[in-house]
Amino acid sequence: MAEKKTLEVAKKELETTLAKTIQLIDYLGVASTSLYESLNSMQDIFDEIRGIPDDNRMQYQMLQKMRDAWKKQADDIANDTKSGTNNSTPGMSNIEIGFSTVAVSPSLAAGLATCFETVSLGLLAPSLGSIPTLAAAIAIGAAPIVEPVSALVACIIILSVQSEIDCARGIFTRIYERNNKAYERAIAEISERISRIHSENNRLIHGIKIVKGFGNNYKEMTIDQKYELGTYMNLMLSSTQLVVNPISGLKPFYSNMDLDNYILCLNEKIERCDSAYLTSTDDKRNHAQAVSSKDNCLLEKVTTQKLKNYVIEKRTLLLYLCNLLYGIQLEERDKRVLCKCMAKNKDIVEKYQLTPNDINTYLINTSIGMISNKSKQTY
Amino acid sequence: MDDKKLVFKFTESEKGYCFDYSIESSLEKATNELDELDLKLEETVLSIKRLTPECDKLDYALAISSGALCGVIDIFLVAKPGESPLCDITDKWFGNMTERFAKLCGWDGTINEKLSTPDSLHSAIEYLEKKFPIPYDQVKADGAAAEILHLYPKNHHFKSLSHNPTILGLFYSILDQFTNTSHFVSGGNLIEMDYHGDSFELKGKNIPSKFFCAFVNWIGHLISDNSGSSQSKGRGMGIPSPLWTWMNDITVIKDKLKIERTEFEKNYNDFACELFENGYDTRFQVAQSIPVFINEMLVRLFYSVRRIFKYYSVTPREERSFIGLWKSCEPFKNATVKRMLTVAHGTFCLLDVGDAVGSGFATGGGYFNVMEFAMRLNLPGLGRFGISLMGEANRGFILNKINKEKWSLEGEREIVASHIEGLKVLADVYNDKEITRLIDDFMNSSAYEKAFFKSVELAEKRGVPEDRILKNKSDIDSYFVGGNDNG
Repeated sequence: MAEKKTLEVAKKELETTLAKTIQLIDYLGVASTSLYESLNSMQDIFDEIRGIPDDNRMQYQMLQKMRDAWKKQADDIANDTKSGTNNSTPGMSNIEIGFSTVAVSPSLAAGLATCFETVSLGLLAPSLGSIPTLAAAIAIGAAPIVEPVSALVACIIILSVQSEIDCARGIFTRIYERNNKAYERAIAEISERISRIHSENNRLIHGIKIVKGFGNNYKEMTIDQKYELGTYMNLMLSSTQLVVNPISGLKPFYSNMDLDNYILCLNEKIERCDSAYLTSTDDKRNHAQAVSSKDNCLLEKVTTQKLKNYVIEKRTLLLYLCNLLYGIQLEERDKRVLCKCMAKNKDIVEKYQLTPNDINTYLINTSIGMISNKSKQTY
Repeated sequence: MDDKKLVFKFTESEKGYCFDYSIESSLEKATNELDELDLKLEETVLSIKRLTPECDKLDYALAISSGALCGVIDIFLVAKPGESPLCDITDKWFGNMTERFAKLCGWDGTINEKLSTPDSLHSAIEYLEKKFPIPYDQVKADGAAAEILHLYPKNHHFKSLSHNPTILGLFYSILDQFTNTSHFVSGGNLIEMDYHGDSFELKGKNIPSKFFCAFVNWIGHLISDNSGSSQSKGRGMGIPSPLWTWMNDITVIKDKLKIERTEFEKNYNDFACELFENGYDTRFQVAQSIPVFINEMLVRLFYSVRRIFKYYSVTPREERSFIGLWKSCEPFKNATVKRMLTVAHGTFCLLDVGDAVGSGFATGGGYFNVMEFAMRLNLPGLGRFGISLMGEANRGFILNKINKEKWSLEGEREIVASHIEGLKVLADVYNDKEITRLIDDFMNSSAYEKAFFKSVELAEKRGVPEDRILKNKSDIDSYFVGGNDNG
């Protein structure tokens, strides 16, 4: 019979992968810093040719400031948090990421800024004060990088029946494995980015030397020189994407946008029920069938409305559950055991202000329904 | 973070750094992992298939029919001791076996006219009794002892431990032969009697040879007693069935451990003894096994015949082989035939128990006649059904475990498959090495226009917003001059 991976082995693998991810993010930060400098230099030359500053310049400066802001926020959090480690060095702060406490250096802060969606080009913050704190960004944005499972895993000891313990261990092992795979994807992507950043940085540095020799008068340049300028402009934009596109392996499995889409789907369903209700009322030829169909429409509408209200009310908790259970198969027994673990977890109960009645299989089934709705839309 | 350092391997070239954790290598690793999981899943599925019966309606119908037929045979042809046509057949068979054994031991076939039943069987028994003498063949106690011990010819073979065909029976036979004693169980007590008959001597020059002779004597005497004794009239008492003498063993063990016997044990022992006195011996037990055996063979035959027909109808002529035929119709070690056997034996037991209960009430005169019930109850059938049920339970337990394993593997597979999908998306996004190579080549060979259009491709692949990409010469002019290009 096939050997099953134990919870402890899965956790150990996840810790190792997470540590590798953090370190690669640090390298990404180092690489992106030198790329920023090249981008800024190239932009300087273009601005001189154009005679006016470009939006891009502001953007790069904003990115630099964001990087510094991440670092500042990390320092603030480190001062407020109760965790402190022996690894702290001057100029660095420590933050809880994953299973361990990590020293947030400027390069790691830059790397983290690169990895998260909040730093995409389309989301330039109007002011630095609106940038979410590191921990908050991690909590709402990047579910994999925080281990929401650890607190639940600790609740296994509360279970008394051996079969329930085995059940819970199986669920959490699969969750760890899934997260491990997400980090592996992140590692692969970050590695590709770092290698591309290095090569494109070299290309840009080489290009800076060449473009400097064109002079500042665009009209006096040859056609080839103009095409070369255009090429370097596009290369610059392409390279920028390497430092602003979010890392797919670190994106949340289920985001706020997905939840909003789900609520939209429910709204559409309610509207469909309404129009079907009207249609069936108008059908006078087959009265019995019409009545039955009408009742069904009404029932479906009421059920969907209740579901929508439930989703809106439990939004944050459902978001947490969707990220926890994304891609994880559950049997009925698994759901019951999971509810037990959640009910025993004080952190979750306090954080989401839950009562014992709130944690039930309906909650789990709703989150599973939301996940499958996303999967259908993806395919 | 831990003090341990993480080392990342990367290679440096003109084009920059290349880490070992590339999308390509991750994809390869994930694909290998998926293949391994698929293999494990396949094994699991095959295991499930092996353990899952594939009986159709006709299989169940045939199994029930076989069980019913054998049940009818048991009700009418086995019935109870004294009214069993099948038992007459087994009596004759045992008799013939005894005579053949006697001939094997040197009996010349001479019939002793002085016996109460002067025929070849009883003469053979007499020969064997002399050939394999033992000191524990007292058929009765004398006088007061008979009243106290309740030891009579009819129950002698049951109460004498050495006549019990069990391991304890063998032990006591050897013990009695070494010590010239007899051991009986009567009234829930273990009784030891000294041998006062003609001098008995256990043959053998040393202890091991004496042991061997004692063992042979036990076997030989049991075979002789199987068809009654030389002095018995009619079928004789035979040797008791091992399925009813186990309480004797309990009595002995408890006696040795100085544990008091319960009233239930004493009553049970008396009941078993009365059953034996009514003719319920090993010969009758073998007769009871006949319909069980027929049931077993019929079911396996039905299974094989159906599969043979199916094999010939489904398999093309050129692919047929004896090995293939045997594999498809082999009536052993597969869940389907075992399920059919469970159903067949269950049906048989249903009819048998129904008949036993019915007879118990019918002959009880208002009460339940337990003796009648016990005589009609087919213990080998019940035992065989019990074995089938245990097998089903065991298979069910293993199947449940394997199904859980399968569920877990499927969950793991889904995670890996999803991971591969994610990697494929990334592979597509980062599939730009060719484009960047071409840009470099065009730039180096002064084909700047071609390099520019390749840079447009690269920007589109990287997801640069459309309105920012410079797509043609006029875009370049617009950006650098604002559209007033005179160059």
